[in-house]
Amino acid sequence: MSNVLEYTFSSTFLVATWKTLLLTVISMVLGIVGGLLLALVKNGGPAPARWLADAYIWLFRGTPVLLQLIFVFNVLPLWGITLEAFTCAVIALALNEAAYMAEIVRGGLMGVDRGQRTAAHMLGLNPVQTMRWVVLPQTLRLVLPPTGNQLIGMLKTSALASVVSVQDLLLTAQRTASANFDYVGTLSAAAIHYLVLTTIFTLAVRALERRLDVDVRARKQGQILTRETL
Amino acid sequence: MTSKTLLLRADSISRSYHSSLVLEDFSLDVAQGETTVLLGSSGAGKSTALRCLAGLEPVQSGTVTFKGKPFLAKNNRPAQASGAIGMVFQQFNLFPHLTVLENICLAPRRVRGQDKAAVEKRATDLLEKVGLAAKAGAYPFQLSGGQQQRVAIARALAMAPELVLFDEPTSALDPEYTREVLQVMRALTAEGLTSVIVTHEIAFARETADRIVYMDAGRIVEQGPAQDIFGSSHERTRRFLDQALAG
Ligand SMILES: Nc1ncnc2c1ncn2[C@@H]1O[C@H](COP(=O)(O)OP(=O)(O)O)[C@@H](O)[C@H]1O
Ligand SMILES: [Mg+2]
Repeated sequence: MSNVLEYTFSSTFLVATWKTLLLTVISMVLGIVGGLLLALVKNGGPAPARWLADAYIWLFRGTPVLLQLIFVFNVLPLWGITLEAFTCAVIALALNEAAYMAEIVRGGLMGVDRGQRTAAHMLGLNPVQTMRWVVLPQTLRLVLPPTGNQLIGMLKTSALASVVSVQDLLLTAQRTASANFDYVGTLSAAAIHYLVLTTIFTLAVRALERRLDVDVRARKQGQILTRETL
Repeated sequence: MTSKTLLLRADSISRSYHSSLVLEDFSLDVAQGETTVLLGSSGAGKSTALRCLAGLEPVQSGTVTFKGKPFLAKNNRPAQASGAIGMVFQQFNLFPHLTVLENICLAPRRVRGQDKAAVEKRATDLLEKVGLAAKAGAYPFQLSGGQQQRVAIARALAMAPELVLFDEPTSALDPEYTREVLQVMRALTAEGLTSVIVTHEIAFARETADRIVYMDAGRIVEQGPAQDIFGSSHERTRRFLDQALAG
């Protein structure tokens, strides 16, 4: 037990967690951007671009992330592109995530009432302005909960990066154990770090959801007006 | 009548969905300052007609011209709107993530690039006009249906449209809220706003309309000056009006 605490607060584990956190957040941000672009293309792009987006999603959702990761790590050097293992992992995780985020964002875009676009059009907003000021802000609120799930999923998927020798939390735990055979202690410490990160993500997403909720925003302004009191 | 300037003209337009014709040979002249009311039972094609006038729908034949210019893009697809024609919807369609003031200011700011302070001043004046000056900071969900519709009217007016189309603006409202919305519309038409209004409020139509169009099954049965239509001896028009006035 004391070993677990020792590992948990050791600088080796803290550094490894920092790496896992970076890997997760960078991959997720890039994945969200990619997913948004794919969703916008699928939502209103020209037909050939829509087909390409569909093919992309089909490819990246239809094959294992682990395969994609190993592919990026081993094939890019053959093409003369040598990148750090960490960068390879970010590329693979982000490319994969974009395919999933595309479907989530597309669902969110479709969840915004058609009448909103009609109203914006009649007010003279062009399609880009309508997207920016009317549709996307409402989409954001719709996609936040599933995106939170994806973020937590990404945290755990990021452990796959250990197979291409990224010194993340899992690889650090394994390496420590292979030196002293204390698998219980090292893996438990790693589990604690993952759980702490998951909890932080969950709370952060919840806080963001509350921030975007007009109900809560209105209450902050001190105008709790119900239909009856108006 | 002839001295008035023609604003919008629909010349024998037809619209079909798949193979069914929902609007056939629809013609209408809207003169500046006039109030036109479209009457007809549900499914008659009133909304479709209004959406064609708004340029929201392609037409299969005929033309819509606004101030003498053809209104649809080359291939008959709806063109980008400029805000010159405003529209008020049955379901209000306010932007739920924006406050009342932001709803009204969005288009003048982003489309016309007008100065923030000037836009807000004008929005406040418009809110005053529809009796909602106190609700500038509220979100749509905090308002009653009648209040939301009055905000929607103010939002349309903020672009200083030359014509406002109303599609059953009170049909989603309880009677007590219907009254306040009709009151605002009455005041606007009295001030000379040009409008085309789809409504089932027959008393309102009789009181405010300059021109009445009665539609059934995608066709215009009869149209003319309000007093002529209300005194019409046309059998179908008579039957519809008698029923509506009795109801
Ligand atoms: N998008 C659509 N696709 C197919 N049919 C439609 C569509 N919109 C309206 N219609 C049909 O067109 C007819 C006229 O509809 P509408 O213009 O909404 O009538 P109104 O507004 O007078 O009630 C109806 O029969 C309706 O079912
Ligand atoms: Mg209708």
